Amino acid sequence: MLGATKHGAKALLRFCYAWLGLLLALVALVPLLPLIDPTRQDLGQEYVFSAAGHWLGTGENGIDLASNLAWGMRLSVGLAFASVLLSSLLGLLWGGFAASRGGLIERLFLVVVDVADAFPGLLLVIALASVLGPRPENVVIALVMGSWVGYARLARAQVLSLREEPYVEAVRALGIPSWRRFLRHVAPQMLPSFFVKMTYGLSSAILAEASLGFLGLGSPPGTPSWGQLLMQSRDVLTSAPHALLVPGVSLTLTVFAVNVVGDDLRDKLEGIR
Amino acid sequence: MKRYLLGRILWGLPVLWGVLSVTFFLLHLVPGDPVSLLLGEGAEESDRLALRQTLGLERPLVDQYFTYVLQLAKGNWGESISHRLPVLDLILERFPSTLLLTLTSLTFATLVSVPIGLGTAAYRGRWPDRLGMFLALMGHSVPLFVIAPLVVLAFAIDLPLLPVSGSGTWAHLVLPTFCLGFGLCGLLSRMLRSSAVDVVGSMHVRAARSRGIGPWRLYSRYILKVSVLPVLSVWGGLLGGLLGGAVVTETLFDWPGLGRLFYTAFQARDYPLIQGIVLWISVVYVGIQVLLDFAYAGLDPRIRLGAEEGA
Repeated sequence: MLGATKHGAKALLRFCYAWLGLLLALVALVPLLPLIDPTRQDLGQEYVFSAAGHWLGTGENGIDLASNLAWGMRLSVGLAFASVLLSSLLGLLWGGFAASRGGLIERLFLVVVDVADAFPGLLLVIALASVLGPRPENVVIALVMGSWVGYARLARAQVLSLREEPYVEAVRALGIPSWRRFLRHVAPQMLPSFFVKMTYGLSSAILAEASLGFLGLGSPPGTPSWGQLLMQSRDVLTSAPHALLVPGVSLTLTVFAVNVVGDDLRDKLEGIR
Repeated sequence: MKRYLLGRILWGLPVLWGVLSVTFFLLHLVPGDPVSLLLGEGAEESDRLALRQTLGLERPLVDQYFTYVLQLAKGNWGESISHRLPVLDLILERFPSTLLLTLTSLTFATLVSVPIGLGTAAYRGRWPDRLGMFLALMGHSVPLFVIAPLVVLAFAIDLPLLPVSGSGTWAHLVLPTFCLGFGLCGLLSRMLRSSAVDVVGSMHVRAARSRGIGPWRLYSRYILKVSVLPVLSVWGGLLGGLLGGAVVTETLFDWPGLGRLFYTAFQARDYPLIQGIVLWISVVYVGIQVLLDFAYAGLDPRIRLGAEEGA
């Protein structure tokens, strides 16, 4: 659906899948790569774009941008992934349980969902992260708290529509217990649309994680992080624009690629239906 | 109809109470002590105790909770610890700035995304569609804190047309509005396109077309009006979210809104102020949800009639 021509759209799509594949491979490979220590300072070469031995230039205190970018990506994408997995699981169980029970339990569960929804999204994440302190696991907690509600709503809606399906009725008639019915027969049917939502969730989680780093609430100071690189670049905007552009373009490309892949998955899913 | 809307208003009360209670207990159970932050780490134990007593922090938590709820019921939102001013006054002082920025950026985003959304739907599958959606996805993907320094560099430093940050004149509003609205354009035009694509192929549009109704009238009256409905809830969600203050934008542009107040309140562990802002934001959010229901009922006769049949 993208790009000015059909050919361009295909190329773009391939590029986005490739970029994501590269990132995922990097998550595993970064510790093995011959990168300069991301915390090593080279005070004589602060914010130089064409510094010898630094192919993407240097940042604050002369740290190597390329290795900071790689390590920062590992952390950002890793945390975003973890938070998406956890919040979708929490949402699936919460919403699925609410819908399959019905009655008073469903009402109570929905009140919790409504309350969680009334908390302002990114503000909640920022609040939790700042209260809990700058640690990676706290970032995940904050991100999960800010995003599980959407999955819970999706799960509930899906269970409500799926349980009208004749095959679920048949499974019920066979006397299969409800938890087993849910796990074996209903949950697998929900996976495709969950997967699409998770893809979009990943791009917002990456953005939110970077926002936290940018506000100084993400990982502890000194840990390589895209958000921190971007925050530091603000002070040298005019003299060293590469300090903004290198992490900025990487972040934009990543979010863009995840969104394109999400669109593609959604189109494919609609094709199946 | 009346019953339906009354029900929606009553739905808001338990939600607000839930938000209030969760915030209260969350804030008081997490680590971080406003007394140490106010007095510094090396303060005398007697001073700490005295301050704790003035702030009422030494009483049992449940006791504090009921006092707070009771005061709130009387219209007293408490006093900020770090500003030493009534919480509601602080919020009301900052809210107009946030409201202004919300309205300008949402208007900007809407004005851009309606033509993009309808245009791409009209040329579905052809190059204007692909180009428009490519741009929309791009807009949706560029983070605020990447685009903001870039536009500052371009329009405030290299071409000194606009102020870098701050507030006070209309010129100060331009860059924050653009940056905040930019991301929203992407989201809104994508939503509007997918909704409009369904409407363009629907029977009433084909009927209107066959009656010889011109494209301008067709798109403005027959397509836009119907395709706006599903987008309205997203729009309302954005409105509710933005009115809570845009922390990143307000920090970047030194905009004196709620988002920055919230951020500084957190750094100071200013419990009453945080509590007040969260409550304020939730009231606004719930209020907008209820208003949206009114708007839906106004725009979509099916909801109106369905509710009457049900009542």
